[in-house]
This record gives sequence, structure tokens and C-alpha cells, in this order.
Amino acid sequence: MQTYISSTLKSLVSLGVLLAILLTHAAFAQGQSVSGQVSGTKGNEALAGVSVVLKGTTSGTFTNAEGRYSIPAKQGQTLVFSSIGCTSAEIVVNGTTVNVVLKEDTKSLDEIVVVGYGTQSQRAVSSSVSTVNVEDLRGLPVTSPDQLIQGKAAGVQISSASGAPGGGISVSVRGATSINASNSPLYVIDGVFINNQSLSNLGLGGQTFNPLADLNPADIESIQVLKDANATAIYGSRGANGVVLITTKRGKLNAGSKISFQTYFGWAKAPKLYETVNAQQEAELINEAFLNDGGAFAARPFRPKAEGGRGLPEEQTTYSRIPDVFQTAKTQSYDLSASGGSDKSRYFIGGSYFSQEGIVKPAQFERFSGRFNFDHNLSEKLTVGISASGAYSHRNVSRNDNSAQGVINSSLYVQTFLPVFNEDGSYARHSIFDNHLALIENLNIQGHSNRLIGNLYAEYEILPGLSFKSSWSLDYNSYIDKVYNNTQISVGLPAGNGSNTQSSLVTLINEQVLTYNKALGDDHRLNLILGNTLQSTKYNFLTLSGQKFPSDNFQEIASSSIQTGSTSSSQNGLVSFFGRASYTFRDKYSLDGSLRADGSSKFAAGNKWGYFPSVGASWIVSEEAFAKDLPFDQIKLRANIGLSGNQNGISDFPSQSLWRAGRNYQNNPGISPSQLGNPDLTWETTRQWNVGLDLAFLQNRIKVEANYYSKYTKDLLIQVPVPSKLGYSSVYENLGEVSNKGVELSISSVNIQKDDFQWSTDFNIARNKNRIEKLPTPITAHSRDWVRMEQGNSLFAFWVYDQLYVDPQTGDAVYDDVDKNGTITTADRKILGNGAPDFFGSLNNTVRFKRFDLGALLYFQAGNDIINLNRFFMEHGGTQSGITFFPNQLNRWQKPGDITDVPRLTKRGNNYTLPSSRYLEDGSFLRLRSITLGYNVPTELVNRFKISNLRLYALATNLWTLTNYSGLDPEVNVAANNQNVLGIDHAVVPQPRSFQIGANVTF
Amino acid sequence: MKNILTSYKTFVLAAAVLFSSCDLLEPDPATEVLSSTALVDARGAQAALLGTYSELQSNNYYGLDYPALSYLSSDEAESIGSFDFYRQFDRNGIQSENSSILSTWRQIYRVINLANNLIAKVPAIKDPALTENLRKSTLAEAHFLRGLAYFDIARAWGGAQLVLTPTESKLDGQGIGRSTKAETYAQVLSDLNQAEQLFTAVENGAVGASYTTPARASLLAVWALKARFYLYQENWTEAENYATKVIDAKKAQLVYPYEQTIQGLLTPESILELAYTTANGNSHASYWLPSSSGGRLEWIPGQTITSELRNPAVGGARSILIGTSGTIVYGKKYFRNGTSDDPAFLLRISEQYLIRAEARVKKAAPNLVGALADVNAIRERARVEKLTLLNAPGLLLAIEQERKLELAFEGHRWFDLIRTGRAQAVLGITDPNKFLYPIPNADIVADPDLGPEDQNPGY
Repeated sequence: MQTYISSTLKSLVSLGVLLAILLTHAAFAQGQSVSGQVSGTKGNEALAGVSVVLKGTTSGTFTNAEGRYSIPAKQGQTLVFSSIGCTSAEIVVNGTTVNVVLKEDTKSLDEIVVVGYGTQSQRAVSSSVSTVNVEDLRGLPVTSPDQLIQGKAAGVQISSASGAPGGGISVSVRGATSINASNSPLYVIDGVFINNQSLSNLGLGGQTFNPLADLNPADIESIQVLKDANATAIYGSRGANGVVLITTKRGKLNAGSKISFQTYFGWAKAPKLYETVNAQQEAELINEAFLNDGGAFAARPFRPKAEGGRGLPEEQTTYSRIPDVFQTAKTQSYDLSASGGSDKSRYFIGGSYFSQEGIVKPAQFERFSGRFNFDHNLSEKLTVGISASGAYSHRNVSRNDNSAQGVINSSLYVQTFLPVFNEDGSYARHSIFDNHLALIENLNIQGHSNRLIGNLYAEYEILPGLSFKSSWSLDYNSYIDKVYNNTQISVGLPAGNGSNTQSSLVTLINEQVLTYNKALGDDHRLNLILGNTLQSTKYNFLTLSGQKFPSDNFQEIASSSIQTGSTSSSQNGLVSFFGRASYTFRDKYSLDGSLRADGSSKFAAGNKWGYFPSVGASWIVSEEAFAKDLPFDQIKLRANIGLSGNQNGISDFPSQSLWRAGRNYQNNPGISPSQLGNPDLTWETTRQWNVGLDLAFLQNRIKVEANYYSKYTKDLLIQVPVPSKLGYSSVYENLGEVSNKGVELSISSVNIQKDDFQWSTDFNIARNKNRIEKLPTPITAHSRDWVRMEQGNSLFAFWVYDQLYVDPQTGDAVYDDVDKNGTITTADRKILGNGAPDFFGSLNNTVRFKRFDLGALLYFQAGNDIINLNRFFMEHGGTQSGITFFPNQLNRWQKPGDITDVPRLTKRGNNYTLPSSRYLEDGSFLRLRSITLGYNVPTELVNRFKISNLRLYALATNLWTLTNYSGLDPEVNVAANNQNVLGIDHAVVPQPRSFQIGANVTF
Repeated sequence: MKNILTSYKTFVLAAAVLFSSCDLLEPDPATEVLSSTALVDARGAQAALLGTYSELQSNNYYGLDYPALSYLSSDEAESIGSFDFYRQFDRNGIQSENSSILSTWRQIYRVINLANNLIAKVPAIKDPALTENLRKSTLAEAHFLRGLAYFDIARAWGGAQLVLTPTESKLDGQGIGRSTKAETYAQVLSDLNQAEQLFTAVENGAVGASYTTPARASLLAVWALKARFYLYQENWTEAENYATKVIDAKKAQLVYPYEQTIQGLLTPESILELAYTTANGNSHASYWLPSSSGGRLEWIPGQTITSELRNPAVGGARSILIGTSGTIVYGKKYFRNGTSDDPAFLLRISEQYLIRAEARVKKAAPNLVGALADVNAIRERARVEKLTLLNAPGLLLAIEQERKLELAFEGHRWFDLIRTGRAQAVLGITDPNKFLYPIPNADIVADPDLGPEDQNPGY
């Protein structure tokens, strides 16, 4: 592997050198001329593609990648420098060199915002769109782009389920709206709707893999999160959970060429490790539980060996396992790209390699990716282009989390007095757990993902302002799980087994959009779009497995003596028509509306089509005469309302009653009913309204955006349990209603703005209140029904027996007897705690001083609870015969008068067997998510290497966390595969603390 | 503008052709078939019948849970693993939201629904390949399997919800609440009678001819289950009568040596034995075996049964049911962990001997000599000394003991001790409410025909 990586790197580097030689030889005009360099105020970076025009003439040029230009000009003439996003400058020529610093355009109200199927002027936007400034996040050691959004967009909650590289992540925009249909937003990359459901078929104890890890975060130019219905209704049946629009980098016309190389190296560790009792303490606890349950003293398990026991407690040896499975994990990333453009074409080409080890052995993730974006003006009116990216990712996966063969489990849970090795030197296995060292050395679970996302388009300008665009897209996603269990690990007994499972998901999309932009005089602006989408998604699945291998050296299924295989496939289709109109009067009043009609193959005839309208309005109050004297640069009011839908995440044929095959007997084919259909099934619909206020003051240095929203989702697509007597477990129904209400506040402030010292602060906070308004039958989730969804409460609520106290006289746990009938039964379980936070947000500070920059991102969430299942299993009071204890077990009640919340050790009764509130903890936290220190090396030092810009930086993540949570990490979820579960901790890999150094070079 | 519209239309048309837009919104399921087309010919009927066996052998029914819940509830096995939902059975403190209670109850009804489909639809199938004999034996097996399923509900939960027609829509089954235990047993008998009648017609005088493999139900299996049914009903005459029919048919016979009954598959010892394959595996072994053999040692054999099985004078050859690995003592009646093809023993000839022995002691005019002979037939095969005692209470205890060891870990003892009124004395359970499992809480919640008052007392 090592040689493979290094040879790949070598070829990447030589490709880069070749490109550099080719591109920097572009010649510039010579002669009687004025030349100079244009730079920006931000970090003195060179500005490419700035137009330089001799005032009053048509003669002009553009700056090259190093910001340099040369133009024939006479003394006394005026040069006009202009560029998008900067204020233009006019300079009278005096001498042969004119160097210019262009200031950022602070009148950012004229910014263009990317919205669904086009862009809009920020002034006219009436909806709530969060733009994530990706530039600040360059070099964060994340595997997937969605992780970049954490803390950067108000109201968008991102929680990593675990610290395993490339692992699952939960993203919710303004709360969860659904129970069985998907709750994750729609991701659109350069116009392609992409799959974000893991295709892996392995059951690894609740872990999932993030398919967005197939995308290289470094390719991203910008991320927009469309949050309210007016923004998302144009995506119709896909928009109810928000839309994440990702735009990748493209070249610029007339910008010459630029090569950039980014790399970083990082080292990550677990911020904290588990602690357990030692062997002596454990033996004492076991003896005590035995005696408490009436065992005879002479028969206690830990009695002298001479008496037939396991030796006295003080004679026990502690075997430590936990440090063995954690490691200092390395991350490396290389990213090389070239971009630029002529007067007709622009391009971006990039390749990258990323590799990250897990802090728990032997997990690893690596990705090779490439991207090619190209646009060409065939004529003045016709433009064609392509956006294409390909990636291969490889995961070395370990069973973790809720699995007895998990690496963490096998080191954490095993009783500490039990040796790691047998006397003959072989790996010792105890209880249900594997040997942790055997796992680390022998686990062989490989995930291979191939991803191709491509989009081809042609755009034709029919008339000025009227253009037609047709695009054809593909999202090809294939995932191969390759597993070989040898005989060193228990699942491989007795003679080894292996499997190879291949899933592929292919989505084909064709889309036509007609856009019309028209200004009628100075007062009226009109923007219309009309379009349609055809989408077809096909899923194919193939699995092969083999049992009984001749030896551990044979690993391919062909070598096994018993082989089984299976295939399956499915498909769905979506046909849509959509339109949007927006009208702006005097740049003050804007009104817009949109409508999308979607037809889905998932529903029966008569219920296929759904219609999703929205309307919105905005008013820039500050443009009114009466507001001129107010101390605001901008006051803008926004309001909108709309419908969006959801049909994602449910099976492809829920409306039909089906029988399946494969229910075989004696190797003869058998069939059995698999699904009870519901022909009445239709869309889940979310009605959302949003009111917002945008303020800017102190010369636009302080900007405030506030939103209040209310979402109401009805006709929830729910797998409703049916009576068992019907022979089925559930049926899909449109039942239930969920509401989400919340506020979002974002403040950005430029605190200090001087030439060599700038300090800016961004703050956002959001609150979401979720409530299940209607649900005829409560639904429970996770093992032991820890989570329960019931009417009147919120999603993600925990369902527990409420331990009130431990009786100081008896040492028994006293639970709240809700129905006062004297015994503790199911009727006494109640909703207590919630996995979703009340508030969350972030505070980001950026300071630039001369050539240094310093950034710090604090992320917080408050009011969420965690069920610490590790404590459920490891403060078991003697009920688990093969599991050790957490030190907190030592605080158990021992004698009358003891005041504690840890009950008397016993296998009997309710003390330790119930899903109790004792394991419910506050999961709020404040975390220094990242801190970066960068230095821009002076150009003159690196010029001779043809380097125009070199930034060196050091970065640390998760350096500091403030929390009361007793587990390893409060950002945790064992059930990443179940969207109804948040905040259950069960042997999950914690978020790592990492340090890294990196360099960004531009040639 | 007209041009634009034309070109737009052309594009849409081109796209529609390429995507074949008609199919886009009407795709057919590829892996599954519509229920209306599943059971319409002879092959479909055969496949659905095999599917019923497949559901019967599911890990939620005979492949693990149904026998496991029973042997954990009795003193045969002790739960030591991490699954507290199994431990609740070991401690006889089951919560009504116990996940195994729900999955087992649900799985039994899956079998019933399949049997209902066969019983309702097979008579109407018009397919020359479905000969009258095939039609009759298919229906006979369906009735037998439904009878078995309701029998399993009745002895574990008491009264069932008697659903006798296939589920076609979510609106079906309305109004079907719990029947009494007696009504449930009456349905069992009715199904067994139908199965007996149909099989008898198929056999057409060749007694036992329908028993070609123990993997499938036969007239012999109907008789064997009837013998057990009458034993539970304390109808000693009929119990003896049907056990005798099975034994006298001499199709299923005691297999020698004893080891062959455990190590062999589909031996003549079995009257009905569910056969597993690696692809459709039985997961018993992985729960019984220690991790050194790739299992999870979720439970171990109880202390008493362990020492009895290992005692040559008591267990004899049956000591092979107990294994050791280091200090760990484990059960190995189910040991084929790599291939997962351990059988599920549903009806064995040795049980018929023991049924007859008990019936012979308990019937109005006891036949103690015959009973003793039956018990000794089993003891002899297990290579333990024959008994000589000839008093009824002593014989009954000997039969109870022999059932415990001979049918160990197959899920009989819990029901036997309850049936004979010995559970309190032997297992020390003071609350007789614990002799029935709870109706799953999920069903009390989901089924409008079940209210809290329908829950078994004590839950």
C-alpha cells in the first residue's frame, strides 16, 4: 500500500509540475505599457481576473493568476480596475508601474445568492438561505463536506455519530419533520441530486458510513443551505428537510491559469479514555453481590483457591486492555488543482488523496478523487459545460458500538481479572466478547466505494434575458463490503467465513430550465423560470458468502466449500414540473412565488401527484424616505409561506401488497407475504412559514439576521404497527403530525478593520421546539425501547423508569410509581429527557494581523440528554456475569444509612434490570471545535519558486470541551442507522482531538 | 417565442423517450411479486407451503426463540449473557414490552397467515399440475401447521386471537379479540381433524405412507401432535390411543445408538423435524456454544440438569449434551455453529413413548406395566438401568425425569411442569400468573380489539 500511495503521489506531483510549466509560459503583451499588480485587502492576496480598462476606450485586459497586468497606456490616462466583490478603483497613470489594492465591496447587499435553479440578488430574496463561508474552513480535517457546515449555518444541526473516519453523520435543518421518511436534507451538487444514504449492507452495531465522504471538501466553492419553504418548494417533494446546494470550483474567464496545492498532516488522539474498576475492586463487588443475594460466605466466588475459589480479591491481577485499542491516528491530505480560463472557456481540474486513521484500531479511511469542471462558450449565445467528479474510497472498518465483536466492547467490557492470553499463549476470549488484540490483528472488513457524479449541460440564450438550459446528470454510487472472518475471531469459527456484497445505486436525471430576466425601466425587475425534471433511480444488490475455508490463508469466497448467493433490485421514478416568478419594484419591494408538481412511482394511481406552492415578499425598509435618518444601512423585512414534501427514505413499493421469495425450505423455493400495501398512501407535506429581519449598521460592519419559523408536517409517512394477528408487523400510513417552531439569530461583526489588522466575529444561535402533534399509537425505538415517540412530546424523547432515590434503609432503587398501583410495570415508564438540543450555535472569531491569521470556532449545544448505555451495562450491580464495572459502581449502597443513587448490588428485583433514568445524563457541551493559526509567507521570499502565494498553518480540533457528560464524548450516537434515535452512547468511538500542520501553495 | 416552445417541447420529448417516461412512474417490483399473483398455480402453492415451513423454522419461532423462551423459563437453562430480554424469562419476570415476546408472537401469526392463505386459495386453484392428491396433502399440511401454531399459542399464552382467513388488507381482522384457551384448543383440534382426514384420504389405506421424510408433516405427525394435544387436555385415553397409533405404524422408530439421534439429521427418530441449511440457518448453536467455538454463551444448562446428564446412572449416553471448554460448562445439543444446520426437533418418537407412559399411568384403568415398559424403552436406549418400580406416583416422577433428560433443551419441560401442576414445587415460582407469557404490549396498543383487560393477569 505504502508504495502504491507514494507512486500515486509521485504521479500527482509530476502532473502538477507539467501543468505549471505549461501554464506559466503564457506570454503577456509587451511594448509601451503600464504594468503592475492588483491585490486585495484580505491577506494581501493577488487578485486574478480583475478587468483593467483604459477609461474612455475599449482597450482593456485582465490580471493574471499573480494579479499582474500590463496595458499600453500613456501618462495622464486613467485606468479603471474592477472586479466582482470589490469596489472599483480609478487611477491616473503616473510612471510605468501602477499597483492597486482593491477594497472589498461592503455594499454586499448586491451579493448574488445561489438559490434553487438559479441565482437571485440578495436584495430580492425573501427566503432564508444560509451561506457557508467555505474559505474559513479550508483544511479542517473532515472527510465529508457536510461536516463543514457544523456551526456555520444557524438552525442547521450537524452531529457526528462517532469519531470513526468516514462514519455516519446526522444533519437536520430546522428540526426533524418525519418518523419513517427521511429527515436529512436534499443535497444538490452542481445541479445533481445526490444520494446520501449509505449503501453498505453490513450490520456493524448501528454504525453507518457517510456517502458524502465520496466528495472532496477541497473542491467546494460554496455551500448554501436553503431552509424555509419559499426556498425549498421549488424542490417540491424533496424539499421538506431543507436543501444543501453545493457549488464546486470553476475557473474564471480571462483569468490566466493558477495552480494550487494544498496539503496537511495531522495527528489525532482520544481526548480521554475509559476507566474501569481494577481487579481487586471488581472481585469485591462480585462477592458482595453474591452475598447480598443470599449466597453463602463459604461459597463466594472470590475465596481462597485452596477452598476451590478464584482466589481472594486482593490476590487478583488487573489486566488492562483499553489503551491497546486506541492509537495516535494520522491524517494526510494532498490536493492539487489547476484552474483558469481564456475568453471562451474556463476550467477547473483537480485531484486529491486523503487518508485518515481512526483513533480506535484498526479503522482507516482513504479517498482518491478527481474533478473536472469545464465551460465553453460555443458562440455568444450557446454555452456547454461539464461538471464531473470521480472518487474511490476505501474503509477499513471495525465492528464497534453495539456489537459483542466490537473492538471497544472487547476491551472495555471484559472483566479485568481475566487474562488477555491463555496459558498456551493463544488469545483468551471471555464471555461473549472476542479478544481485543485478536480483533485488531485479524478483523478484515473492507468497504470500497466508487462514486461518479457528472452533469452535462447546454445553455442557449434565446433572447437577451431569456435562456434555456438542458442538463443531463448521473450519480453512480457503488459500494462493496468485503468481509473475511478468520478463525482467530469468534464470528469466523469454526472454519472461517467470508462475504462479498455489492450494492449500486444509479440515478439518472434530465432537467430543462427556461429562465427569463427582464428589467422594465428602472423600476421593475422580473425573473421567471419554468422547468421540468425526470429522474430514475435504480438499485442493484448482489451478495455472495462462503463458509468453511481450508485455512486462514485462503480468503476469497471461491476457496470456501459452502457458498451461497443472492441478488435483488428495485427502482423508483420521479417526474416533476416547476416554475417560479419573482418581481421587484424599485429595488425595494419584492414578491415571488413558485410551484412544483411531482409525480412519484412510490404511490398508487390517483395519489401519485403532489403540488407544492410557495409565496414570499420582502421590503427593504431602509430605502424608504422615512428611514433615511435611522442609524441603519439596511433594514429588510421578509415573510413567506409554502409547502414542501417528503417521500424519501421509504421503500419503493409501499402501496402494494407483496410476497417475497427466498423463504426456502430444504433448498427448495418458498415464498411468503412480505408487505401489506396501502393504496391510499401519499406524500408527507410540510407547511412552513418564515418571517425574517435583516439589519446592517455601522457602515455595514455589523449585520444581523433574525428568523422565526413555524413548520407543520402532516400526513406523516409512518410504518404503523398493525396487530400481529394479521401476520404482518406494520403498514405504511399517512398518519401523524409533527411541528417544529424556532428562532434563528446570526450576527456578524467586523470589529476592527485596519490595513494590517482585522478582527471579525460571527455568532449564531438557534432554538427549535419539536412536538408530535398527532400520533395515534406511540412508536418506540432502539433496544429496550429507550426512545419513544408519542403524541404531545417531541421526537428523540427518552422513555425510562424514573428512579427517584435509593432507599437509605434497604438500598433498593425507588422508582416513580406513576399509576400508584404499588408495583413497577410498563405503565410506570415515562418520557424523560430528549436527545435533541434546546439551543445550539457557534461563535467564530477571525483575526488577521499583517501576515498572520488566527481563527477560533466555538460550537455549543445545550439542553440535550444522553442515555449512557455503557453505564447501563457497566453499572450492572451483578446482573451481568461477564462484564466489568465502571468506578461509579463503587458508590453503591452498602449499609443502612448510606445515601447514594447507586442501589444495592443484586441480581434480583428491579435495582439494575430496568431502563432507568439513572443512566440519563445532561449532554450539553461547549467545544472549541477548531483553532487555526496561519502565516502568509511574503511573496518576495517565494517568488523565485514561481509561487505567488504560500500559506502555512497549524490547526487543532476539539482542543477543549466543557461538559457534564460522564462518557468519553457528548457528540455521540450509537444508532446512526436509525434516524429516530439521537444521543445514545454505547461503546462509540469518541470525537478525536487532533493537531495538524498544513500548507497552501498557489503557483 | 413559438420557436422556444417548440424547442422546449422537443427537448422534453427527447428526454421522455430516453427515460421511457411511462415506465418512470409505473415500475414493477423486481424482487417481489404482487400478492394477487403469488398463489395462483401449483408451483405457487408448493412455494407458499414451503414458505410456511420456512416461517415456522424462523429464529423467532422454532429456530431459536420459541424453545429458548421455554427452556429459559424452566430450570433447563440459565441466562448469563448480555441480553436482558432473555434474562427476564430465566427470572420469570417478563415485561410485556419484552422484544422476544413480541417477535415470537408475531412470527407464529406469520405462519398462521400463510396457512390461512393456503387453506383459502388452494381449493380454487385451477392448474392440471395440482393433482387432487397434491391439493389434499397441501391442505392437510396447511391445517396441521395452523393447528400447531395455535397449539403453541395456547400452551404459552392461553387464549389466542383466532384468525382463520388470509390478510388481504390492513382493514382485515377487525373484531377478532381474544378467544378463551378452550376455544383455542378447539380450533387446534378442528385443524388436526381436518389434516387427519385429508392425509387419510391421500394415504388411501397405506398407513404411514405420507411419512416420506421427517422434514414434512404427515399423518404420523398429525397423530403425534394429537397425542400431545390430548396429553395437555388430560384426555388419557385418546393420548394413549394416538401415541400407540404412531408407535405401531413403525415408520418412526427409536434409533440406536442414542448418539445417532443428536448427531444424525432427519433420522427415523423424528416424526417431524425442521431441516436447516447454511443459507437458512438455525441460530441455536451460537447461543449455546462458548466463544471458543464461535458462540456467545448467552445461556448455560442449569446446574441440576447438568449434573443429571453427566451422571452415568441417570443421564447415560445423554451426557453428550454437555460440553466443557476450560472452566466453562455448556450445552451442546445444538452444536453445528459453522453450518447452522442444527435441526429443530418438533415431534420425536421417544416423546410418544413418554406420552403413552404418562397416559397409561393416569388413565382411569392404569396400565403400570405398559407405562414402565415405555419408560424403560427410552432408558434402555440411553444406556441407563431399567426401572422396576410399579407404583403410580413413582412412575410419574420417573416419567417427568425422563422427559426432562430425553427431551432436554427442546422446550418441553416448562409446559410439562405447568401442565402437571408441578411448576410451583419444582421451579419455586409462587405466582401462578407467571405460567402464561404476557400478550405483547405492542399488540395491546396497536390492536383495537385488545384492551388492557385482555392482558394476562399479573402483567
